[in-house]
Amino acid sequence: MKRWPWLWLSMLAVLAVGLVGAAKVKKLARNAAKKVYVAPGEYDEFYAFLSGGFNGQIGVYGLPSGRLLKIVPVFAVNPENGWGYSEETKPMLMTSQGFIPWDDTHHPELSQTDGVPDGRWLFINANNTPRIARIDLGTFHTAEIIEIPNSGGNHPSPFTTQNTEYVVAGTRFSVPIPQRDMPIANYKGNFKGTFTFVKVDSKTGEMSIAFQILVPGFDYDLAHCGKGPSHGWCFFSMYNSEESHTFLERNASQKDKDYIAAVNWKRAEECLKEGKGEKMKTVYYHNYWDEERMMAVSEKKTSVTILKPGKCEGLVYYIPTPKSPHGVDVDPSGEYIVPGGKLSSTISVFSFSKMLNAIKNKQFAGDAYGIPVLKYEAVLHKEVPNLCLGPLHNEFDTRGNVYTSCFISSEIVKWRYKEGTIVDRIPVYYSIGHLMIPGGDSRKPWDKYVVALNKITKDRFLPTGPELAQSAQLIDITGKKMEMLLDFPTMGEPHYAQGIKADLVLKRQVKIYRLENNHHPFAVKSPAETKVTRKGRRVDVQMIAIRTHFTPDNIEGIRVGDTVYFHVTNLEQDWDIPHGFAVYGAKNTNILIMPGQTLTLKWVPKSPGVYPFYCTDFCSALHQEMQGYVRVSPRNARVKLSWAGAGL
Amino acid sequence: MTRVKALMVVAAVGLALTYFFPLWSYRLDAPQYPEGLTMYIYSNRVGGDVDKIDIVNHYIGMKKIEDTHFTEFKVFPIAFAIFILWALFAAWKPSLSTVGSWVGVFTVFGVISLIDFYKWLYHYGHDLDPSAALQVPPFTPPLIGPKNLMNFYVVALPHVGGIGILLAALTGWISLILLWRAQRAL
Repeated sequence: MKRWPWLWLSMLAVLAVGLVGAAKVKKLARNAAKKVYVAPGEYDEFYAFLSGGFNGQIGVYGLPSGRLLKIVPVFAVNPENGWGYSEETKPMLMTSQGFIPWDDTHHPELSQTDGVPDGRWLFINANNTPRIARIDLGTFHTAEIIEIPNSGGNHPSPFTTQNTEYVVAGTRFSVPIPQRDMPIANYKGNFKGTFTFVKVDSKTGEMSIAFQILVPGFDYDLAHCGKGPSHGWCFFSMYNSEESHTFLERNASQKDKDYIAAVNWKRAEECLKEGKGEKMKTVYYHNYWDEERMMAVSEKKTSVTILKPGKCEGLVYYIPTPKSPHGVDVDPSGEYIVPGGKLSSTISVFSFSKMLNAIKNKQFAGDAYGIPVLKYEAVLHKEVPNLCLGPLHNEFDTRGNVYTSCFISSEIVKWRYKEGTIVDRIPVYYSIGHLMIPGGDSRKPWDKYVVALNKITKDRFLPTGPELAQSAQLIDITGKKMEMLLDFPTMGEPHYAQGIKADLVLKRQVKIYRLENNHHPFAVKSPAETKVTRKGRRVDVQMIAIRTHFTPDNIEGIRVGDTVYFHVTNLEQDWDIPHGFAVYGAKNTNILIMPGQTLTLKWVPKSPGVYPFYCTDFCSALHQEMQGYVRVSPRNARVKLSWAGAGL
Repeated sequence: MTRVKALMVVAAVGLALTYFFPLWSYRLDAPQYPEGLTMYIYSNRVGGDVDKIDIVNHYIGMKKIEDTHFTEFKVFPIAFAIFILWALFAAWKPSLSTVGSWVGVFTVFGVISLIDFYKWLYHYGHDLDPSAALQVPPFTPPLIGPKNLMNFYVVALPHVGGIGILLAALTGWISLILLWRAQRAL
């Protein structure tokens, strides 16, 4: 020991460094835990709305805790509460292709007033069968779905203008317009894309298609609309300016630059006023929730107004952008446009005022199908080399920083977009797509956190077989260095997300539906009014649910071959007292009826017998007793319709 | 004498409050009702979360609390109107007889009302439906102050209208004492 004192000393030193290091890591973890800890009974500071991707829904989470609060059913049927199964909600999923029970949701978008999220509505796109939905944030209920005709792959959608004048849609997959039979090989020049501007009523939120701009058949990928000085413009990124129709991974990645389309929608309004729009026959559906009758209504529409850039000068310009740009994001001031140059390691920052100058001075580098292509250098503010690999999307803070998600290098890079200097980078686990700062795409970001929305989790959580959860990660951005705080798994694919200060949504919360405002044609407001009526083979049961019984709870006189509609009105007028209804052998689902609401479940009994029904939502101490029977007699039986129960 | 006049006007004003505010309030707290349930008793009706309280009460077979059950709701507004006019008359012509009779009758009215109120409470807590799902020992909800009833913590308190009545009684009695003293001094 005496011979090797330096050895012992160095070992001690290593041990000491190790201990200090471990203590530091522990302390870090403790700090992070403190930052995301929301004590029992306390509320989160932010609502976060994460798209469900291929589950077709929206996940509502609290931040900073990452707790899942609700799945809002939108484009996919939801047996949990009967969305898309109950007679009232079925029309919501009608399209020109019939009833569609599923879609792929990508981009939630909060309504804005003056460029700031206002907490009124949340919009989201359906990518597969192109549609836009509007969710009411008072009820967290999908209030409206509008189909987008002349489109394939509604991906750059539904981004909003500064005062939610419009939400936009675009075609990721160009198609023959109007749709017709033709060889795929004739794609070039024959397939077309559209930019759709969906007008949003400023009071009711009701959506209607104002106009569609017919554009060349490139793949339009993402969008964002201008704000402040750039209010009046929307920007759409794109890939495949090669217009290839097969093996796109190579064929659509040949050119150095693709484009961002800058669309002047105020100019579009002028052209429409001058009568330059053309009516075109098409078919699409507009489905909305009738609040008085408490049911969805489906309307078939048969024409849209088409604007052609050739007939409306100054409507669309193309900005050359390095290689297959993915995101296109506008900074809070509205002056800088930052694309994600997916296949390029260099990011170009564009200047809106330079763009206006280039248009004024006609600094064009040719055209694409008659649409002027602006000179790249004339619009460019800054080129930032070696940012990262696979930059996709950008969100902003209030301090002149932009945060870029980098899919391939699996990191977030924080950099200054005016100066073009990199500030910080943090690895994310793994393969980030979008990222989200609450209000980070608006004029006033609440820039406390950035949320990484990751596609791959691998070893981050306890494994669950081959199919693993995707995830979100919460990162503190208040300090000089970004700090990883929390991992949480998500439902479906958290594609894009929106976040908002909780109080803006809290103050709009609806707790119950008022019974006196329920004008559902089959609603009954007291046990005495309940009844069962027959019209041929159709039987309507108008029943009530209240703690802790259904009236009627004994129904006889149903026959095999009948179609029975159970219209259940929940008479409760207290918050958080839903009742459920399920009946033996129902081939659809159960329904979950909110206080004051009426919902209808269709039931076709197969064979004679006595079948139970019951309440599926544990509503009170006597929930188990909330049950009843339906007697089903043979088809030719002479059992008369009769019903009985409490209060009759 | 001006003091007595003023006090009797105050009594009238105190009683006038019963037309605008509840006389009594009940607040019920339970774990699953963090926001609490509140019931207000006005001179002519019950208000607040009565429907929600009825639903909770039905488990133990308590009767529904309905305005039509109470003749008091017809009597009270008229009685208060008479007492207000009477108090104003006493303020106009203050004497041992005008003030004294007002105080006497009003006090008797008050005591009878409180006994009546208690009897109703006793009735609601004791006359329970024997076929109710939950059988609980009979009880009397509190007239005033807090009490634990099953999973609820119940607090009964006079509301603005009730305080107006107490104020009227107090000012009436003070007026009477002042008048007595004035007479003895003569």
